[in-house]
Amino acid sequence: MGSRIAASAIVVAGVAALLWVMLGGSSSEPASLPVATTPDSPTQPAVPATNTGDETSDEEAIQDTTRQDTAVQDTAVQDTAVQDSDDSEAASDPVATAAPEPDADAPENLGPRMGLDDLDGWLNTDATSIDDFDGKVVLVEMWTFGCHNCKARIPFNQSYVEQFADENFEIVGVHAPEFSYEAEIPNIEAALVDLGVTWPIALDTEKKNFRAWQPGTRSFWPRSYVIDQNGDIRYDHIGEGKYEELRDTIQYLLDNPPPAPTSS
Amino acid sequence: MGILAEGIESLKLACSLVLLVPALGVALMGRRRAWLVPAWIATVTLITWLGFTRWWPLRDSGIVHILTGALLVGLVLVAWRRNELASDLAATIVGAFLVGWTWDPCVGSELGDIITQAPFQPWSQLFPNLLYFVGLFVPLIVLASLEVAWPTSGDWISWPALRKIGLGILALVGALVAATLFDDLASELLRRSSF
Repeated sequence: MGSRIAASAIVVAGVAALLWVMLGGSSSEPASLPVATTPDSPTQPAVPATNTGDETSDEEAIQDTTRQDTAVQDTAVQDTAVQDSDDSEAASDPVATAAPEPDADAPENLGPRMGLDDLDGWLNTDATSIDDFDGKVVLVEMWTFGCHNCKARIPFNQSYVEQFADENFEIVGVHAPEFSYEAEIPNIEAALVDLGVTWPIALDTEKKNFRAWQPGTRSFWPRSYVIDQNGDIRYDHIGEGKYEELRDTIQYLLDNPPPAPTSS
Repeated sequence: MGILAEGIESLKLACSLVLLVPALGVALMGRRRAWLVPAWIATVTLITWLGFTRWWPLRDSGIVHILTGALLVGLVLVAWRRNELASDLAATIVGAFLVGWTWDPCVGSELGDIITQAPFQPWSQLFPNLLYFVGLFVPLIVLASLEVAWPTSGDWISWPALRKIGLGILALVGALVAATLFDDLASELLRRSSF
């Protein structure tokens, strides 16, 4: 008798859940688009380099290990090289006798980005390579136009475009189709118009870059990376959400460009 | 509870189709579904969690992919002939393993948190991952609970022909995965329904 009551409760709860989904569920639109702040607004403190889950979770524990969460972890020594060159310059400067204080607010350097190779072309731009955006802060987003969660990010990306319009910032969407109809260029072009996507789109039809940029044996839509002016990854986030963290990271990098690497 | 809600909402996402189509096959496999549905959900949870933690070393490609698809077809044929719990369970578990392994998720904020943290805090992400799939597979849970709650209701959802349809769906999934055509089928279903 008890099991029948429990099963009945499960059925009722399950049917209620299905009705909730059929009636629209929670709003798929962002609850509130953040108001764009002026470009010269104060930099937000403590920008985490990587999505660390719940806002109230222990972000520091994750941050300590986020260096592993990138496809380029093994090549992250470039960051150290930059630090070393800064130190040697400071030592030779008679005024600057002390080594510069490391900036605790700086997003962690996750290592140099990879290239975008074997593409099927670009849309919304005259660029022919991601190298054409070198020297800028670049938001690279892995997405496909049929992906609900990717579409949810678009209004926020548009808000970044508007907020940082006059700054050294660019978004590059890497379109990696999940289904075959998402690989057809006329469909992509139509979707870009429908969705209001105006930023450059790299066509990664074979998903080679989609997989190469993402470590492990799984790849995800959407995934966002922020690349700094030196081509290093400074932010890595899977899925929807964390829009303010990403905005703060962009703002921080625009306000505090990393020192240019010295040529060896 | 946010992760449960996100799982339920994922029912309407195209990315979930590759999990839901074979799950429909399990849902139709007769009165044994009260055993098969928990096995299905547990297996999908485990294989996806192993992928998120990066403990699972294989990408869904190559000969292992083909062999697993062929194994599923074989197990479905055995289940068809024997019509017993053990063979149904074996086909269900291999089917769940296969689709959980090959699934590339579209990621909401809650699942994104699981995926991001899983490589660093694997064990703490297992239960949230289970909750996500409990949400996603709510229709299966309802069907499995229905005949426990109201035993006579099992008559119409346990019609023998439905079992054959369910097994047929699983066999088709195995064959399409082995031939690397499963995504194409899902794509065509999606295109016809919504694009």
